[in-house]
Amino acid sequence: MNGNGPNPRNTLSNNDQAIRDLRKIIIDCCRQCGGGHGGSAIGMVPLAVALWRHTMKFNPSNPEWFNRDRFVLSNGHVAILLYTMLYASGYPNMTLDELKLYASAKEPGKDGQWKSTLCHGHPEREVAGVEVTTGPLGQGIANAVGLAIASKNLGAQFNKPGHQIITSKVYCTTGDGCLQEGVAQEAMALAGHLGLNNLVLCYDNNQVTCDGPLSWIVSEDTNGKMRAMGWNVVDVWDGDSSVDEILAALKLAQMSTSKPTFLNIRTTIGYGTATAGTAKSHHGTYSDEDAALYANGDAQPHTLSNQTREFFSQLKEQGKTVEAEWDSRLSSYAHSYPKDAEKLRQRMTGQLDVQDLLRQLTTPSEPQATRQYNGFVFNALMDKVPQMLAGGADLWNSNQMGDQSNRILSRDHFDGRVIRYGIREHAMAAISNGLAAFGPGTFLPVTATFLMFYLYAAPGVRMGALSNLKVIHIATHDSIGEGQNGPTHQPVEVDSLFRAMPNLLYIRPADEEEVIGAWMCALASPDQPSILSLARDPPGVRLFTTSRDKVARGGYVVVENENAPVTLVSCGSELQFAYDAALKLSTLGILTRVVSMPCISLFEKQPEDYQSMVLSTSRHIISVEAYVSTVWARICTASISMDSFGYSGAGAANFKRFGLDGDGIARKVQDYVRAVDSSRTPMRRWVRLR
Amino acid sequence: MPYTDLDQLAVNTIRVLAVDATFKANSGHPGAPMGMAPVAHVLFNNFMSFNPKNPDWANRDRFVLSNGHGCMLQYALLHLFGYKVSLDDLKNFRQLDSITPGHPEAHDTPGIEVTTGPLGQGFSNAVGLAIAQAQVGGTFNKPGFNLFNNYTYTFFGDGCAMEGIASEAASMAGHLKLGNLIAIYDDNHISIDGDTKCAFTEDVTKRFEAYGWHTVWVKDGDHDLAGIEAAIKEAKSVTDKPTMIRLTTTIGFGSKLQGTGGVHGNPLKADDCQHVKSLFGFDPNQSFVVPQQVYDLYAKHAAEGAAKEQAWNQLVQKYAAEHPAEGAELTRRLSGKLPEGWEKSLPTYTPADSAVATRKLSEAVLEKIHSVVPELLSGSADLTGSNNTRWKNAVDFQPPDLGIGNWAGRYLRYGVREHAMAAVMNGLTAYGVGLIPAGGTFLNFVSYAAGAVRLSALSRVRTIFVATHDSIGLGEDGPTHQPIETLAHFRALPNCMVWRPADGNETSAAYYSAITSKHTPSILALTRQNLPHLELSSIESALKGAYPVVEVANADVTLISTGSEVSICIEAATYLKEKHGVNARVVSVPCFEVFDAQDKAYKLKVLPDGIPVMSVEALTTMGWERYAHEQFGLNRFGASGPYKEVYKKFEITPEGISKRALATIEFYKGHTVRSPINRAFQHIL
Repeated sequence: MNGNGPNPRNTLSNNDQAIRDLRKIIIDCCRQCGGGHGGSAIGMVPLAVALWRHTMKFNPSNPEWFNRDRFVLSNGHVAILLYTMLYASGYPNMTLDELKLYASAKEPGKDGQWKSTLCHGHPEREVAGVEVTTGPLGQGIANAVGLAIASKNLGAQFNKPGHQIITSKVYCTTGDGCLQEGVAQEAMALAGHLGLNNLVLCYDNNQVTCDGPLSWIVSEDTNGKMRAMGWNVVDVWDGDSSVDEILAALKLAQMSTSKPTFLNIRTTIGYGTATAGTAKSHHGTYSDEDAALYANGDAQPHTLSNQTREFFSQLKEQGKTVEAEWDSRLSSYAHSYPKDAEKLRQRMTGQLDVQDLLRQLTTPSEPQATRQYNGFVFNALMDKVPQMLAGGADLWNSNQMGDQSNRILSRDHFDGRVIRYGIREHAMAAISNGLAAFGPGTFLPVTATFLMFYLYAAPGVRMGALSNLKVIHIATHDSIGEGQNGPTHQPVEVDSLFRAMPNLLYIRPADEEEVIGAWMCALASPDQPSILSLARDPPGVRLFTTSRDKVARGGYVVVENENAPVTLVSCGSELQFAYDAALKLSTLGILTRVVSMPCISLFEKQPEDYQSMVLSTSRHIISVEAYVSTVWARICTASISMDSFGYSGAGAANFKRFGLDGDGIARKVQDYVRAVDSSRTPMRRWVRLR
Repeated sequence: MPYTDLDQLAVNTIRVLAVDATFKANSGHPGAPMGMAPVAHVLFNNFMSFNPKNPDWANRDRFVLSNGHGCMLQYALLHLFGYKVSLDDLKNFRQLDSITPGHPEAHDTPGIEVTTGPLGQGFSNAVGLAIAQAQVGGTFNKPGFNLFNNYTYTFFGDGCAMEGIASEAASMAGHLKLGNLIAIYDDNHISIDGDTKCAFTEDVTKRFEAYGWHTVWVKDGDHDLAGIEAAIKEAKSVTDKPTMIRLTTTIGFGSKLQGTGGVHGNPLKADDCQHVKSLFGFDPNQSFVVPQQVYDLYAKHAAEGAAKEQAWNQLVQKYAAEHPAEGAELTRRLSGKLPEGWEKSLPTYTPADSAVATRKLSEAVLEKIHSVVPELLSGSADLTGSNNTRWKNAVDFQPPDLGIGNWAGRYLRYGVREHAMAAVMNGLTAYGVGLIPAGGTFLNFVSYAAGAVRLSALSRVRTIFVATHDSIGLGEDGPTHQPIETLAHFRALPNCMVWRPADGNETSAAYYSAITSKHTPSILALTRQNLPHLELSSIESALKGAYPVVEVANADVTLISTGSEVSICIEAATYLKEKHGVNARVVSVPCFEVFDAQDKAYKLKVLPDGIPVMSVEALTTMGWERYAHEQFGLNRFGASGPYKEVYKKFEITPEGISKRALATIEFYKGHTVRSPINRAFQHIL
């Protein structure tokens, strides 16, 4: 036995035997699929035993138990560790057969149906026991911060003296990769700022990344960095084998009264195996020798010893007991505080019914910028919807989210409902995903910044879409109409990103009516994030035919004109210009209809006859939008759009500069219609007008 | 040196110009310029070497205003020192078509090194500029010829300090021991939403120390010019660490609202403007006034800079005489020309060559051209083995004392810091000695870097993103790693080329295009899985953006595709012929942007009238409507599994494509089919 390998004693303590057995299963699973990320998993097994067997409160028989401790695997590529722990802990869905399907071939069965798996290459939250989908590095840490804020916030709202109802803690693991990512650094800074003492970040410090030794790319004093950001730091020196040392550190973490805790756990990637301590251990399968290493002579793969089985078997009982205890605490709480208990029940089940409230909202007589009126709607909802937990990335006033200064969430007021995220857009989106993942509908996170800077946050928005988390993103200053900040702040291509992103509602309302409609759609959708794309400036004219109810159809007619040869399709701040152009064109004898299309993906879901009715039989269906026209060729025969960056200059001048004001549109349509009509071309394809 | 009333007058002139320009524009950020005028004066007048008459002098000190919203500070300095920025330009601040836009734009204004505004970017660009100095110095400097020894200075505020990208870049700079980098932190405790204690209570100094930076604190940045000077001196003396100077200032110093969020992003009120001018001894009723002594003071320093450039030019001449090969190479680099005939090294292939993944073919290109294009710097965000970005004998760019590379190294280990990587690459290109940075990560994680990629495009620089694992073809890693919307996004980004090569020749073409496009970034989307070399491919054909790879007479359908799906389309064409007697053409489109630039006759040859076109790409179909009558792709997230099975699941197989091709043919039967290229009239730009 080399000095680096496992202890070959015949009688091992329960912890040591569990470490052996779990490492064996991980190696067997990687051998089964001929790959996978086993190395970090092997190194992290003692931590996993300390967390799952000794520390975290959860009920394997009810993975959704509301007050469970949450576990987040931010280094999501180490998925096999999580699957192994779910299996060992007795989660009924995670059977040995499932485990064997980890990253392996899953061809259609005899019935022709594709086999599905729970053990994806990266953990996906649709699987019971997986709190959040992780993989893209850094996201999980930010999700964990969100979960920790959620727990603190609910606790502050509902806990009473003698009635600690919401107490769940969040345990998050991270490797060297996540810690380098900007999104994680933003989230950790905010966690330190807020003093989230219910959060423990467990750093698998194995000093190895994909490419090689960490020292090639990082020389920082990680503990110093975490302390500078307001964290409690605890060192663990023997993470490879000492469950006890990790438990002692976790105990210190639990004693932290005002800071999140960072456990710096020294481990060896692929501990004991041939590639231990090197980058090669990051990914790949194992040799027979490696397999024998932890097998203790057991030739059968994927087995747990009886000792380990027994050692973990109590988790099921324990889980039932802690949940039952909590249920009784909840009953006594309900007895003492019936109203609060009812409110908590509503939060736990995610009840939300505000469609009537939105239907009854009135709109102002003078046109307002959509960002401004959105602020009004947002504030009306904040008063009525306790689930809403909002926040902005330091542009709250520019986003016109209104005065919420009495609702700021801080370390002294965790019951606040507005988070000052700071200039940390990416973390804002990823933290919001964590809030939304806390419970089904328990929180309705809302974020706000300029549309341009949702580009910084895009990977977080994507993770929300991929993992079906309802978050509402308020994206103001959404075009060249943004004005003098110039092209660095003017999106022209960002809509393409979000409109092409699956399972995301990108809604661009034109006026107050449609802002209400946009909220109705965003709130009605049960498990989809939304972006509300809003303008800086008010429209110059009021259209009386816009409708909050019709936003749900994606697009609808705002100016009908029977047998019109031209239909202009527009949205957002450009609808006013399309309308203006339509009036001008009709005066010139080119009858023109106008369609408002606030949400293309919703329009595409409508029945075909509705779509045809809206687009009509016009020979020319022309989109008008101040963005690069990636999407419109799906619907239109021509587009009036941008094909360059914008320019620094006041809003109205910018629209004119790029020929997107009423005059510019009318001119382009006129030229186009004349040219096409004289050539009498059949079956036209899409064209961009200049 | 002792500071006099003249220095104070210069400081106040900068402040008053910022007040006047933002007031006149009725928009902008006066607060930061008023707070940072003292440090700007000391830095520009006492430390920085530059020649306003030649903003491109190669060994000038670089200055980056990372808090770009404070750009009136920089415009005022450029004007006062005699760059081509006039008083009228200052009066046109933030107006359409002025050279003084709302945020500094490198291609608009002489003296602006990089385009900033989106927070955190400039700080990271500065790290790139500092790396460039170290790399170029490491390459060209010789004993007695310290040709490249400039410093890079950057100003940043609380906003930049909070952004993740800046944390990534700061960590990288500390690791790389960039002693030539001096970052000055405007510690004014105010962000747009108010006091930074609302969201930002960390110990910034300690954090930078943890990253390996030297730190200095100037407690009275409003008045203590000597203290500022001492701090910068100290920073310059520390050569094995970057330095962060924490400069505590009062935002909007001199305004009635100084020290509050009120002066951050809004012009001062008229009476406050008058108040400021009176306070600083200016006539409250006059605007845009510059005392002649201030012009004279700065002209003296500008003249010193011009003299330094002259001396430097002489040194370069002497260098060329003593080291003719290096001298010639330096001359070529400074001229921006590529080495003669470099493109002959690009590898070419025939169908007889074995099937290889385009990420490996990209590696083959780098292997062949790295020695003939010495300005090419490769690197990866910790996925070197997966991105295949490192040629075999590459030397890492690392501080020599770490023993794992040297300053002349051409392979950058960016770490798991995608966003900073892209912004650092922007900084490398901005250094102006012809550096061509290529950086690798998975295509899906180029999205982490999107904020900086956008600035590559906006500021017209040549960066190359080696984006591997470009579709569901990456397999087991699953939907978190499988791009869907990513190409539609970057194809929509103005002035950005997206290449998705289908084989070896197309990969070589992609590199040819990327390296020769001096003012455009390129994203090379490359496969993890192996692809066969195509019968009709060549570098020349691929450089037209699109070309037929299967041509048949009397075609019933044209299949148009990119990258890994082209060879599947070719199989589908065979399948259609054999099983259904249908003739299918296949067109490969490695790059839309290049195809769009071809003449109409060529485009019509590729996509002729009379044949319906169906697109096939294993990503979103959005955007394909412009080129194809029908679109086949993936408008949902992918799935985890071995890649061939994932393709099967979504029917992106010869059978699945054929099924849809037949439907397309059926749908258009009996109709006159016009090519998507055929327009009623031609566009005029």
